[in-house]
Amino acid sequence: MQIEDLYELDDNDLLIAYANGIPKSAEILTDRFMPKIFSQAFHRVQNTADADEITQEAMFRLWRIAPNWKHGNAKVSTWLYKVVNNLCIDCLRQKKPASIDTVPDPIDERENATDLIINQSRAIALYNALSQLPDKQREAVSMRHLEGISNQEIAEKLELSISAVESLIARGKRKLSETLKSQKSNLGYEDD
Amino acid sequence: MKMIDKKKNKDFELEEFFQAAKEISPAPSDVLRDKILESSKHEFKKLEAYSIRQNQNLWWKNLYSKYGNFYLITGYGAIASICIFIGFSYPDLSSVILPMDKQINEAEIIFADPIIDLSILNLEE
Repeated sequence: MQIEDLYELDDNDLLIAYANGIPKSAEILTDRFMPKIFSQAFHRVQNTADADEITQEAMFRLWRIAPNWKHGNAKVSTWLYKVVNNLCIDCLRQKKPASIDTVPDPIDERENATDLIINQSRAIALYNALSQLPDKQREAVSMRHLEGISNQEIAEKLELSISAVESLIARGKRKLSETLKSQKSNLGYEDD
Repeated sequence: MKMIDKKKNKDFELEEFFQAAKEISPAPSDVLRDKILESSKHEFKKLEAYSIRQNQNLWWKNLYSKYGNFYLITGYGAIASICIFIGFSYPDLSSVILPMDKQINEAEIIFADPIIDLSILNLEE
């Protein structure tokens, strides 16, 4: 098999290819999943070091399960989502809630420092508001609006119908709006 | 109309929060990528060792399927070992067995049934 052909394979086939002795497929899988996993982990734990660790551990578990992976198994992305979710839960159990100090300074070339501070405080407020949502609502809203995952994919990952996902997202956003509205004046908005 | 405007405005605000969260979210570093690829190589080596072990197991499985189960093959092995041991321990075993053979023939003659008249064996002639 040519290396170019590997890029055409789906995730399950790539994992099986890795188990069957094609190390290059690990590189392709890493490039496909690392940014998504990192993003999912970061939005949950709000800490770069922890997100790094979770991403590394999740991928390590993927390599380990490769020899036993079969075509009939769940999608690799769904499996990874669950692993990352569990790792995030474990991590959050051990850590305190996020504070502004734990969020890294973004690489931002804007000269306006006020914008930067407002962005940070809004992100922190959003994370805090998200943490008050029920688990499924939080996961659905995070996936849809922070990670940019489609409703259909969210439905697969959460094992729900698409209409249930839409409902979760709508309710979650309504609660977020209510929570954040009360903090408007501290987050760069003028009072009504 | 007023309600729609109000709703739009609400969503727009929330979208700003999501946007802010995305903007402060860092990208995964190259160091992390290197570590992940390193772990994949490490696991790959283990995987190779595992598949060699699997092949060895396959050899044993084939052996069992051809010659019976584990106990039977162990039995064959034990018998073969005992024979080899005896062979090496008594290299002049034939000199022990041949006199024994002679003794057995003598014993047969001694204990032969005296009632049977051996001459009847020659009646047909």
